[in-house]
Amino acid sequence: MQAQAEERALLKAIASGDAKALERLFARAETRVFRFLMRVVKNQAIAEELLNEVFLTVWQNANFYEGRSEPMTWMLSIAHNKAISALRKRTEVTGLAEEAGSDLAAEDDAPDVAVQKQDKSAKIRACIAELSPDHRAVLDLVYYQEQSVAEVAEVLGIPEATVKTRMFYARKKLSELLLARGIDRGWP
Amino acid sequence: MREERVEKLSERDEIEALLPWYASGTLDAKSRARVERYIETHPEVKAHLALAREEADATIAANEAITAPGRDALDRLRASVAAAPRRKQVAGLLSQISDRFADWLSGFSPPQLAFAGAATALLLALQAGVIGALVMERVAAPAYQTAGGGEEKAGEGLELLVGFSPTATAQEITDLLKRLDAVVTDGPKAGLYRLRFPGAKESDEDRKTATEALKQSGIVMTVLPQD
Repeated sequence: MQAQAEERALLKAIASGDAKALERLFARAETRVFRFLMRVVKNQAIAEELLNEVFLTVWQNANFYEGRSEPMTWMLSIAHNKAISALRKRTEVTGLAEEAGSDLAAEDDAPDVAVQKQDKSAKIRACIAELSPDHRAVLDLVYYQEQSVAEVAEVLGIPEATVKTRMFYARKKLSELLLARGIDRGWP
Repeated sequence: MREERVEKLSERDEIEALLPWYASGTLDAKSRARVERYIETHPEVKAHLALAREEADATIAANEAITAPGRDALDRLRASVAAAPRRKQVAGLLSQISDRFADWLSGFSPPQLAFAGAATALLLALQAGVIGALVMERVAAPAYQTAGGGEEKAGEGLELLVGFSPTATAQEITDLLKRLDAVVTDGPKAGLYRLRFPGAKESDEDRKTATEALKQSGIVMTVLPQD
């Protein structure tokens, strides 16, 4: 709660034109925001460009922040909108949404059986990387970004019921991908 | 993504969907109690918590494997900030004119206000011209892209009547419409525009979500349900 209070104070200072406050907020949040962007666009250069755009938007629109959501939720919402726009542009240019710039390409299957067992987590990571950006985003927002149902709804701009449904289908698809790699999770 | 909107989850599936939040400790008290009640009578679901924890471990590991941006990221931001005007400056003319109108109006007697009201109407007319361009754009293109990338036919989805702040810029309105996947289908009538959300349903929940998002934007003064 202390961290959120400090971030709210920083946003208030940014709204009044304090550039140093923006730098402090950037130092606190850049890694989380950047990782979220990378997980959506899967391209280092694009993610870095978008990271810059996100914090520029924070600078220019901090006076629009009304405190109804946590600062991180607000910033992730801006990041999501920019990442989706970037994906759309890339799709329009190349016709490819998923495959382009796969910096996070699925890891190879380890041939060694012992490694395979030890590397179940790596297989889950690989399968999560194969999910659609929408499905991957909902997993990232819950497990890594620690966003509640309502916060995920705000970040993605969809109703809470849709968030739950999307999570269900993301996990179902993950199980299917894992089954194809020889891991039966016994669900659904 | 379309199937997500039309297919309602069974109680069992909804509990399964909530397990990630339950395992992460980010579920609200009511939903948490609901999950716990269900688990008491369906012990097999409890075992599925382990799946959620595996997913959490993998997701966290995948995120932490991503190297933070280079050291020049902050320098790049500093340069961008130095080069870009603040929002208040971007809002520019409309905002300044609006502020001056407020000062101007405060010094007037009631008969004089009738004239001032006409001047305010002129300001709103300027904005109407900006938003009108958005309406015309949609009239010219009866089908449009949704967030899911699918084509939507005009007439589908949730509709709301919206009044924008007189200081809202064209860019802000365009960005908001894009962010919410909304389109202007009509207006202004009595200062209100008809917005359609093709990806949303005419349900209380979707209406509430859209209304909250509009109000939170900071550039919307009025949101009314469609007649």
